[in-house]
Amino acid sequence: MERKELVSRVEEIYKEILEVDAITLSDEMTANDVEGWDSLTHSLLINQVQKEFEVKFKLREVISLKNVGELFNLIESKLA
Amino acid sequence: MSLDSVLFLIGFIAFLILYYLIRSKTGRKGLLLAASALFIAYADIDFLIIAMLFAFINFTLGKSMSTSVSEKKKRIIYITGIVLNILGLALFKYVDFISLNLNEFLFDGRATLPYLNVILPLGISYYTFQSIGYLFDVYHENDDVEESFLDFSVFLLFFPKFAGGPIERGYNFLPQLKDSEAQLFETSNFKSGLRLFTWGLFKKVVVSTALWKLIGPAYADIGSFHGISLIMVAFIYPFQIYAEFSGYTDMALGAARMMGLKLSPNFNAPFTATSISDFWRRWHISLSTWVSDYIFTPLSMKIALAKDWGKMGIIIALSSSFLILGIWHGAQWTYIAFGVIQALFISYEIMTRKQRGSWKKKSNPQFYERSSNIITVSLYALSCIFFGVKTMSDGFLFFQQMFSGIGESVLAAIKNEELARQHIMYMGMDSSVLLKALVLFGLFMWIQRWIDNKGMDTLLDEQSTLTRWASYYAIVAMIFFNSNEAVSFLYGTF
Repeated sequence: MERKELVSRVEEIYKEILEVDAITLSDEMTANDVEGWDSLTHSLLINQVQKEFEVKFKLREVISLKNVGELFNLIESKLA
Repeated sequence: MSLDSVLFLIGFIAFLILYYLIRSKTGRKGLLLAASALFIAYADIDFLIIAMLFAFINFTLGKSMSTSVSEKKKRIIYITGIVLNILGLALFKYVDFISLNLNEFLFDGRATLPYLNVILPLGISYYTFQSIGYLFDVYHENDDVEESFLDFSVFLLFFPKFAGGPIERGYNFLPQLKDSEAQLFETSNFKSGLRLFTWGLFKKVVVSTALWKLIGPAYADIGSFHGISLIMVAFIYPFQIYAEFSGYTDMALGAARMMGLKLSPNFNAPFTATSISDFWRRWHISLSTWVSDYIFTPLSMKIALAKDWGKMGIIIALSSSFLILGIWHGAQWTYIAFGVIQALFISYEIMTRKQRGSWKKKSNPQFYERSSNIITVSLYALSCIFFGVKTMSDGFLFFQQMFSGIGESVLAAIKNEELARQHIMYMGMDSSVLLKALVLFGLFMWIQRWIDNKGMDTLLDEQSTLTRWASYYAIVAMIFFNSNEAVSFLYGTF
């Protein structure tokens, strides 16, 4: 899967969970940059990402994520 | 020894002179540890021994975790560390509470399970949480392992934060001890720290004491008050805790800043919050983020990674987190109730997120914000009733008394027969107590709001020299004239 397609599918998940009409994700983005993305919604996002891409994350992998780019990388590594 | 005691102030001046006379980094850290040891041993030498034991165990566990090659061994060390800290804390803080309740419920009140009757070691709730956070971060590779026992001990025992927080993170604090630049004497740091310390001292010694004088009698004898009096008490109480605890935190942050060290903030204009979730992002931040990072996130993630429970998973993780946040304050059912109430409020907010979003869109933004703020502060004040009382029955009595005789008390206060107004509005005290408390409260909230918006240093530097120095003198004079009345520090007992 191309990075572009992956990003747009993750964006769809964010739109649904954070209940916003539009969102553009970039690699350096963190929870501080996105309204409504807090510790409460974070686990819903991760759960949905797992379902959407049919992958399984480990707690340690998810906890050490620093930004959106690292989430994309993690998904890619699981799909590879 | 409290940070607002005269002994501490004298000792601290002597400490600072020595601190800046010593040039070597290790020498300074040695002095920091010695001063911290003295601070703790002054309360009880056993407290120092226990704290050093925890420092040694956690340091060793961190080191062995980093040197072990096998993932399995690493995990065993990590879990052992977490369990040891929890057991240590439970032994000193919760065992007698558990025995008491089990004896009550299972053995008809007979002392079948023994009581340890141990004294709660000073600072244990803070340093065990800091240690758990450190081990978690090292295990999850969010933090480097600490190689120096001296540095690690300073991290856990650092005297400004030892007895009342903030609950510090290893990755925030430890690198500062290694940074030579951070510890150079800087006039701006020193001045800023001194200003913050003094402002904290004012909040704790003057404002918190004046507010407590007004509401303290009602907490001591709830049955004698009702209606308006208790409503006033309930609404003043969160501000009294705020003055006391944010005052203490400012003193800790200010003292550290005078040494060139930076501690984490604990408050960010909490009474401007527009929801309870927002409130907890602004109130006792070092505890709420600790609970969020080390309990809520792993738990909600575990659930989310394994099960598709959606919002229910969040609510379960959230309730467990707030239960722990509540009981962290002490082995009392009232603290558990306080935590449970917060969990209920936030669960409601999660469930109605979408609904509230559409309300917000439909209504006038300013009106929505103002009313959300008033509702939030009122709900928090009501939940704080359980924070202020010692037993659940006192909590229920408070609610019962508060909602009874409101109309009668209004009428009685208007008629003012047999000094009714004095009893209702001033809790039976002279009107000057109420007046003093209200004036100081207004002054405090007004200045604090400015500080929150601009930052204390910018605010002061903008003023003319005359205004600035007049403010310093006024604050110091008020501290001086109120210094013999200060009440003991609640957060130092946790």
